[in-house]
Amino acid sequence: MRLTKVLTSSKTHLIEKLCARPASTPTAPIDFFFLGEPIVDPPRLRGSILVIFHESFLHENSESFEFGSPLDLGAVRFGFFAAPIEISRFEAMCRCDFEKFSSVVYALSGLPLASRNTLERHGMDVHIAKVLSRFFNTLVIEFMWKHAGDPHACLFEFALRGTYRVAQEHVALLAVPDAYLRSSELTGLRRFGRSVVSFNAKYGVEEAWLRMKSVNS
Amino acid sequence: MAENEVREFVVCGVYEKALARLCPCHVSPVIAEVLNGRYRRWTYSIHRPYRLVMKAPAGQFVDSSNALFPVVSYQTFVPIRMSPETQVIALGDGSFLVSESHQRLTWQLLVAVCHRPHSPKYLLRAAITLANIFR
Repeated sequence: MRLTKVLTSSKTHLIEKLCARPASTPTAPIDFFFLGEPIVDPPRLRGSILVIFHESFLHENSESFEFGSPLDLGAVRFGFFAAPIEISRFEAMCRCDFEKFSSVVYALSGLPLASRNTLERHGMDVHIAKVLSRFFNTLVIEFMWKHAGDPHACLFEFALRGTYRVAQEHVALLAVPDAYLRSSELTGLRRFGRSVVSFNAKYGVEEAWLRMKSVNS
Repeated sequence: MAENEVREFVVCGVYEKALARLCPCHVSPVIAEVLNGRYRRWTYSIHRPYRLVMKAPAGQFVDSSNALFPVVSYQTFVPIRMSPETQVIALGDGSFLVSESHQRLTWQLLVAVCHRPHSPKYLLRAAITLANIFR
């Protein structure tokens, strides 16, 4: 399964990790990633750089794992979704540690191809719901069904503490605006070779992703 | 969005920050609907040929364009009325070019480049951005 991060240039610590530069700050903040493809129709928040990771990125950073959740907890906390019960109790139902989150990912990986594709596009179906019901409270599954049209309801996000590591073999694809690539700031991205693609920033990351997908399919 | 709905949209920021060493470059605008002096952010798609297509409101109306995000992690500026063809170019020192006119963007970008201390890489990025205005 693919993992995604869409970031802006202010994520200096992540850019430093990608460029294999020493950290300029002693402590890096928590970063959020999610399972599946970037949200494209349309994104609620936008970024300018897209990183697609292999699943090994999650497993090899287990020590930095802060928490995971089947849905976007930030969207619940900031009022984009109405929680069915008190927010803190609902969050506690969704949050899981590395063991549980990786078990969920493993179980979801065994789904039929059509369901895995639905999951990668942040959709919901009966097979996905059946797997999730083994791990999460019915309230969580019902919530995900209720908001199934919104990709943030089936985001499968996870947070890593700033100590996480990005190795060359973790990165499947890096999409960077063409003008950014001509900056000394991002010279280090060359280590990813052909995994780095550039795009016209005017059209945004999601257009670049859709174009890459159509070329590869 | 229904075709017959007439709403006023403004660009009031960009989904970027800390651009100093990456500019000049196109950036994705933060777009908000204005109603009775209040602002509500909208999601949008970018079509080819270049066109911003409004999709749905994101969040509630707020009193200031600075209050559109619960956590301020993007750059905001004084709201500017926009059209679907509006492009936004960051110049790298907190200033932005916002216009739907290719000629105006080209002229303003050239003027901005002439008035800034620049490196060869800055000039290269400016050339790419100039070409991107028309692509």
